[in-house]
Amino acid sequence: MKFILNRLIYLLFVLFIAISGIFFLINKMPGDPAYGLAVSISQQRNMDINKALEIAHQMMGIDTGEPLFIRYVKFLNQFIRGNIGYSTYYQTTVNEIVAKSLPWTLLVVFISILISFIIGVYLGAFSAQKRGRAVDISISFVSSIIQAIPPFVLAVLILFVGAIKLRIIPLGGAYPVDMEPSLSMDFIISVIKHAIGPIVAISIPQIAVWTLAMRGNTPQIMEEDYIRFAMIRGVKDSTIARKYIRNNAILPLVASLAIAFGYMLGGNTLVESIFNYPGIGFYFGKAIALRDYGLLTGLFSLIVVGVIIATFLAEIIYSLIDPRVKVK
Amino acid sequence: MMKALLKVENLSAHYIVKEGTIKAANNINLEIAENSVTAVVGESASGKSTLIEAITMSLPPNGRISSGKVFYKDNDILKSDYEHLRKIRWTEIAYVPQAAQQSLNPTMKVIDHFVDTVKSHNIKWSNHEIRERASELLKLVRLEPGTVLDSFPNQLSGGMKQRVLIALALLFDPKILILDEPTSALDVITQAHIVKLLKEIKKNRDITIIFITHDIAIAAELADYIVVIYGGHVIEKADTIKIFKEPKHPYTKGLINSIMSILSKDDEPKGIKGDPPSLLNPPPGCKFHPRCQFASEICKKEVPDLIKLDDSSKVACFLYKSAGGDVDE
Ligand SMILES: Nc1ncnc2c1ncn2[C@@H]1O[C@H](COP(=O)(O)OP(=O)(O)O)[C@@H](O)[C@H]1O
Ligand code: SF4
Ligand SMILES: [Mg+2]
Repeated sequence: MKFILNRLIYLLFVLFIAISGIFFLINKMPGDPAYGLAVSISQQRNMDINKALEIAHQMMGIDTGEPLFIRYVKFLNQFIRGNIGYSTYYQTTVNEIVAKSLPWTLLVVFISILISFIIGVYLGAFSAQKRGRAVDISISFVSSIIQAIPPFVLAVLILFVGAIKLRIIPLGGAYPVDMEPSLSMDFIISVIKHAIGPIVAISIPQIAVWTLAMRGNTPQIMEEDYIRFAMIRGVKDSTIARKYIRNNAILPLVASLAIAFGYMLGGNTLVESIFNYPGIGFYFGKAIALRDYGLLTGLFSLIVVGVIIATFLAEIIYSLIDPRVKVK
Repeated sequence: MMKALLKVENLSAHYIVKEGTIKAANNINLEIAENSVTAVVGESASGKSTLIEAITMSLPPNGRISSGKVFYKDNDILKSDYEHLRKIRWTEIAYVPQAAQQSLNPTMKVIDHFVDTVKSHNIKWSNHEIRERASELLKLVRLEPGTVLDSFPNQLSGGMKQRVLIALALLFDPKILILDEPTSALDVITQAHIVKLLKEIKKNRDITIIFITHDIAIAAELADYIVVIYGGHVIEKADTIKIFKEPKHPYTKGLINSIMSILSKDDEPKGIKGDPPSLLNPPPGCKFHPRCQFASEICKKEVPDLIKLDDSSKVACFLYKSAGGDVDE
């Protein structure tokens, strides 16, 4: 309990530092936060850019005369209340954007991690069992190449082949525009069809990552006394492989699982953008492209909070499943 | 001596390391009588564990058996295939290795260790029967089955884990129970407990026990026979009573003297001077000669065989002549 409490205090501290860091980083970035909006206003209205800037400042509620520190306090105050900002481009709160985009990202990330973890653990354990043989060498060789492929490259490939050549997956979106979200079979199938591209693009390198991690963990486990003692007891090889080796080699990976989950919340910007998939990453990409500072700050903070909380959970999980951590 | 249940002939094993080979068991000859208790004693790193691991075919990956035979019920264990070996392991020969503290799977409850062992040997017990049997055995080793069976290993103390292993070892009423240092790394009270437990097991069961210890007092308390190992060789084997009354090998004499002097609170314990031999580059001849006050020229050149004396004890030392002049048996 004390361990968890300690970590919790530490967590709050880290969160505070991170969010402050993000605020200052974005607000100190070269360029005027309202510039993007001003450009579009000036183009639409055929207006002088300086005039447009003024209007943009008013629209965003930026008082250019207001000191940075006051803006920071306001931002923190709003953030603590759960208002993570205002998007100038979409002209709505960031919370609203998160509410409609986060479920899609969670769907894709959750399924990708599940699939890649299960396949990776099996492949890695299998490979480790055949250590040094041709299958093992091929698996680890192929995995080390695949894990280095950026998901966005796969995304382009999948989109090109799947949507343009074969026309088996849709070009974008999370579901067809003419469909009303419901729990009908049709809707679910079309959601899966739309998600499959991003899922495959993200999963393939992830499978390789888990395979290598599992394969790397296993030899160390095989030297443990309890493996030897199981052999001495005449326990069957298949049981040893499953309950003694695999289950113990997975332990350290469970912690990485939580961390991977956190990173993936925002890490798939390019993949979501390529598939036009309206998740967090997609809007993050938009925020950068459109210089929508409010959206950028809000989403960036959300992602960082996600990573930090995931890391925290990983530590807790690890201490629960491996009592030796607590002792330290 | 009763019929030998286990017979070791000219067994040698070594470890492969960067610097060369560690000759940890050399030309071992041993007979273990049915229903006897044998203690294997010797200082640490003398090759006690190696001997047991070689007999049970459970050497670490860099260990090799270079020669010899191990007969169990007239079959050479060393020649049996893996599946046959797996089957006699635990049902006939149960061996609890040294460093038993990490021998239980941290991700499994104690009861599941019993279950896995039973299922692996294709014994048709229901889960309920396994639990009953496990409870009975845990009670025998004075553990509370209700709590221990559903505990994970990290929830148990060192002494409890050691007792779980002993309970586990008795699961199928094995013919031979081998224990490698069952009491070291435990506190004195737990030690006494385990010694008492082993005494009960010995009294109440048809079982042949071989145990390793570097505590010669425990050997004296439990064993019918004592085997003394020095530098990877068996240098003496005799009845417990005989070996204490009349140790033969100069090393055994030193060993017995050193504890006798502690017992009699002698002012200066007569420990053995010098260092144990390196097994990487062992001295030629009798491994004990650099420390032996009786060493002669032949001791530096030739390895003495283990010979049987008139009183039927066995010793490997040039100071003794074998009974009737024949070497060994
Ligand atoms: N896996 C191993 N690799 C190399 N050397 C080993 C290994 N295991 C034991 N040894 C060495 O073999 C010798 C005998 O060890 P061991 O049989 O464990 O002795 P004991 O049980 O009497 O303490 C020691 O010198 C030890 O260092
Ligand atoms: S053989 Fe020689 S050196 Fe070895 S113990 Fe006997 S007398 Fe000593
Ligand atoms: Mg040992």
